[in-house]
Amino acid sequence: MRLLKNIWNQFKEYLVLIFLLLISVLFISRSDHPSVKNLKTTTFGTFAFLTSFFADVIPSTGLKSENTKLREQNAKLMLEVNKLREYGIENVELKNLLSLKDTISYQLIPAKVIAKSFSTDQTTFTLDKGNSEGIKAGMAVITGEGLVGIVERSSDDYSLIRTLKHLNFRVVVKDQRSRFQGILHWTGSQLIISNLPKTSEIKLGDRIITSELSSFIGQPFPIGIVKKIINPDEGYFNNVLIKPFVEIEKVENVFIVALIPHKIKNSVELNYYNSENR
Amino acid sequence: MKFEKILPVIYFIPVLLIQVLVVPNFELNGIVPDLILILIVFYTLKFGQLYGIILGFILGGITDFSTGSILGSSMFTKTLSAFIAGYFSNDNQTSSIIKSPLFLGIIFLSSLVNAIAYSLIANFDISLNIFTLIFDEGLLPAVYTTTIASIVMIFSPKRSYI
Repeated sequence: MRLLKNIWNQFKEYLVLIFLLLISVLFISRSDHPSVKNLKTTTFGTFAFLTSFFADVIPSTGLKSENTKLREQNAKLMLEVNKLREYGIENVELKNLLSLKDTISYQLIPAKVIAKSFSTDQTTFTLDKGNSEGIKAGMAVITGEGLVGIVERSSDDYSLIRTLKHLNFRVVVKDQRSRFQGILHWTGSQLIISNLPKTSEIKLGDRIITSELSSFIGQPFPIGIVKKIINPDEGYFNNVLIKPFVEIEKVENVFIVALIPHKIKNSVELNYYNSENR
Repeated sequence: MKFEKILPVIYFIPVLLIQVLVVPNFELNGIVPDLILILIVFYTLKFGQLYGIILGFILGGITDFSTGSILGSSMFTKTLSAFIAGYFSNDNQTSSIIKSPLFLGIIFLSSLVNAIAYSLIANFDISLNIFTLIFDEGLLPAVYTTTIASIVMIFSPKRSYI
């Protein structure tokens, strides 16, 4: 106690300064001002460079390339399985159509998570790949289990990922069985699909995937399963709790889906995304 | 707490109004003096570093809220500037420092730190180089603020009201 008192008496100006500056930085970091975004990009780029420098010091090159290949294969298989599952369902619904043209090809860019935010309500990752690898804002980020998030912004060599567990993350999803659609978001503690009509036929254990209607992720990536259906007595809507396939906290390696479903559509939507973030 | 320690918060309101309404008319190439900083530095020298840090944080916060600038930006810069100015605070020589050219030197230094830090937060541009940052965004506003502080110092009444 006396030691603490001595420390306080000796360094109180510094302690108060640090405390107040941290509060200021907290306020600044919540701002959406363009210059703050520029500052964040530069800061995260610099920090990512330092992090990757120290991460590379730890030798693990032996199995690195083989692991990367296997992870990539795993992710591609997951996407294939998911796509086939989708085709199976769509086949029944669309059997009267003459053709169903698939114009999609998945190009996966492997990347390593070199930094993670500690905020539980705004989890972000920094990846060791950026613009120079063809990564652009709005691209989906996945692992072998499913969707992790989307690229929020990128510098030449690094990218910042907004994960599923981020308050500003929204994505249109659908129940793979019943085909009901809703908007998935993170509340700060739970991943939920809110405002689903009570008439929707969603059941516990249903697989939830991203919808083709999503502005950014126009492909069916697995998200999770229905864990709980919250059915309030009043109102016309249910909330559905989702258990994600990906354990966001444990993610170390990811793939960026360098996918452009439709060039013009993509351009329009990315412009909208960028202007929203300006 | 002594009443005189709350005085700067009261004085701050007219100073903020002047800063927002009058000072922009005296801008030179987009550079304006920072009257709020002068107030903070003055009271930091008068009441000490710790007091100044807290005062800078509060007045910076009110400035952010009332002017619509990036919340936290003035809070950060004013706190930091007060901390710098606080190094020159001396219980025995406060009045002599405030009336000496050293006061202007302290204003200049604090203003320089304030202007550079504010520029980094509020006007950050990746293309900004270090010389532009220090000269255009730091030195010029600091010189302007110091000039205004010297005018205030010369024409201030002999009897202390603040």
